[in-house]
Amino acid sequence: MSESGNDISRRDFIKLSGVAAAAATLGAGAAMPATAQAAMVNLGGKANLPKAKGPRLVVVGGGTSGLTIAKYAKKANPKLDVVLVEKRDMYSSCFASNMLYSGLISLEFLADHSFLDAAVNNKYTFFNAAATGLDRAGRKLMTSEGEIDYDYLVLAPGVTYDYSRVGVKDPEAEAILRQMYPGGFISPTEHITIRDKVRNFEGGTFLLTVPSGNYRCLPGPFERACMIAAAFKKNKVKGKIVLVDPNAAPLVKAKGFLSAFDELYKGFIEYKPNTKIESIDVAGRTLKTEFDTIKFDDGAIYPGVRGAHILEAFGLMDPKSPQKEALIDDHKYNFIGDDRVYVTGDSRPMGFSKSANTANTEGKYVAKLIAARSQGKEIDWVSPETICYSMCNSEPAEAISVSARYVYDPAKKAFGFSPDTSMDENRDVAKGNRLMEWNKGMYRDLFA
Amino acid sequence: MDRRSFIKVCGGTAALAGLQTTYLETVRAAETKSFARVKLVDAEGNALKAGKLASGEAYIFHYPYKSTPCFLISLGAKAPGQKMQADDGEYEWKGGVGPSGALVSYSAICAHQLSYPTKEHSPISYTGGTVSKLAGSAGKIVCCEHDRVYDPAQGGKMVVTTKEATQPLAAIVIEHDAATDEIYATGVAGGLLYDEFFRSYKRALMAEYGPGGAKEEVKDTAPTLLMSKYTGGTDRC
Repeated sequence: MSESGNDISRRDFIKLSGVAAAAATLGAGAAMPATAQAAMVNLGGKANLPKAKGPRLVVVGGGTSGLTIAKYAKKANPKLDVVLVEKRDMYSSCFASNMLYSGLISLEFLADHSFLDAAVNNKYTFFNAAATGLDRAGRKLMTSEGEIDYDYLVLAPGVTYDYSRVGVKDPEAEAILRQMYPGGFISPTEHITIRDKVRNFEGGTFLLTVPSGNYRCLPGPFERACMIAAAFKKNKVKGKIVLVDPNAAPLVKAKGFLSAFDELYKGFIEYKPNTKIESIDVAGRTLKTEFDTIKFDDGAIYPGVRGAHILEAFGLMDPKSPQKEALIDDHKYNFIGDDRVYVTGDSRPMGFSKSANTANTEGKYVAKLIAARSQGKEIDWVSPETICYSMCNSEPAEAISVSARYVYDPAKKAFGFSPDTSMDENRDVAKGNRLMEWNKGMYRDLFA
Repeated sequence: MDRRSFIKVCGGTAALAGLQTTYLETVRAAETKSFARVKLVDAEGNALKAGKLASGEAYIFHYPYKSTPCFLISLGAKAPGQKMQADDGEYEWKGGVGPSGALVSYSAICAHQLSYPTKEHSPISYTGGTVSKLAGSAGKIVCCEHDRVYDPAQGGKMVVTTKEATQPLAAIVIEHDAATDEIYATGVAGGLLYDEFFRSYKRALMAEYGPGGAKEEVKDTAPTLLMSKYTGGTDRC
């Protein structure tokens, strides 16, 4: 195969043909004329939106960060014309989703929230489209529904999985893993699949993995192990969870999780710390670590995360970033050299926790900052707040928690936890209640 | 253009104006707004007497709307009035009332993210004599949902912690009748969050109060219960 990529070898040609054949079998794609398909990428025409009534702020991504920024930027400067661009047509939160697996909540709890209501309640415009291109010089965002002129642009695109972190480099193996053993930390369809895996599990080994690096929701894999183990325990499943972690211990709330494993789920959770995954054999359902081979019957493999692909495509990725995150000012969030383009949420390069409360409080700051800048002013940096509960038990619902802020160390040019960080690792029903209240409060803040 | 299409176009423009232009809020400014003069009564409907109130715990009553809860607190000491700052401007908090100037009242809807006490459960409460872990002191109103602390002796001002400040709890204007020792609510001062509250809890309020019920103003009397009698469980933090 050619290394330069300038000429198409026979093998590449076969690959391409395969893609074309696959596309031909997809109804919509096949029916669309070639020119229209080109337009999807290259874009002609303006998006069908009302004329901007003030400086236009376009926010890409309707997750916690984007929804927060759209609402609070409009509040902080009502003259802004705010457009939220989101590719999904249904919302469903990633936060709180682990509780699906133990049956503490139903899908409705996560998904019964409308983008349209959020926009109407908060006086912005919801635009259901995928961002496909960026012209920073012309201040235009291309979308699957036409181009949008912006004065300010926020990209809050979240994360994508990085399978190279678990030794998977072959695209076919990755595609199978994505489909058969989804990570369950990005899309709602993964949550539903994992919920059904848990409900229908007949016994054996259920594999869960903890990624390396700064992954989305640091306590998430441990909370997930607790929730799935609670379901196995209740259903009297003759099976166990094997939880593989490259770190020496859970990165947060270690005491709380380890005591839950020990006191509630003995025999149901086998925790393997200091265990780095070297490769995964999908067909053989076998995972190789440095010292060991683990066979599994089913599972959810969370490989690790990196910045969303559109950052790379739009030229906003920091080429030196180990997790392919954004090249932005670490206090002001604007792309280096362009104070009209911002990146927030889990694609940020700062070492904050990639969690909802962090994205929500960060979003309020960035919203105020953009509102101020749109009026020729600046504001001081404020730290995001990480308030994070983890459910450890389902009957009764008991949780543990951590509350933290961040301080900047100019010598290291990095952020660390502030000294007032507090962990409450004795699981109890009071924190279980507070967890449920926190979730409802977050939905209220994003949608009402 | 005929008359009918003219109406259509006008209608469309009016609807669009609502998309992006101004907030159509009923009450925004941080001034004192008067509502009906309402007597606080106990569960049996007898007038509450200021001299007989318990002091370690807050009471709950609903005012100015049937669904909007308030704290009534008998503090240990006189609470002098002061100027307050809400998101929408300054206002005057007149301080505690009653024989010792220690009787205060606030909206029990958290000024941060609108958590409030329901019959089932409350994330927000008055700590009384107990030292709250979060506040590091006694006698505060704490909301455990996002760790916010308010001082009922200081007009409901948020106590400075490392958390980003929110505006004070809205203050309920209360009067004490020295002759009868009765207590009346007459208005609300500060940042009113009722529009946000009604919007945020639309579904729950509709289920509990029926169509339009939650926004009905309270007239004549407001039943006032000890917090522990009102709610099934209170978060501590």
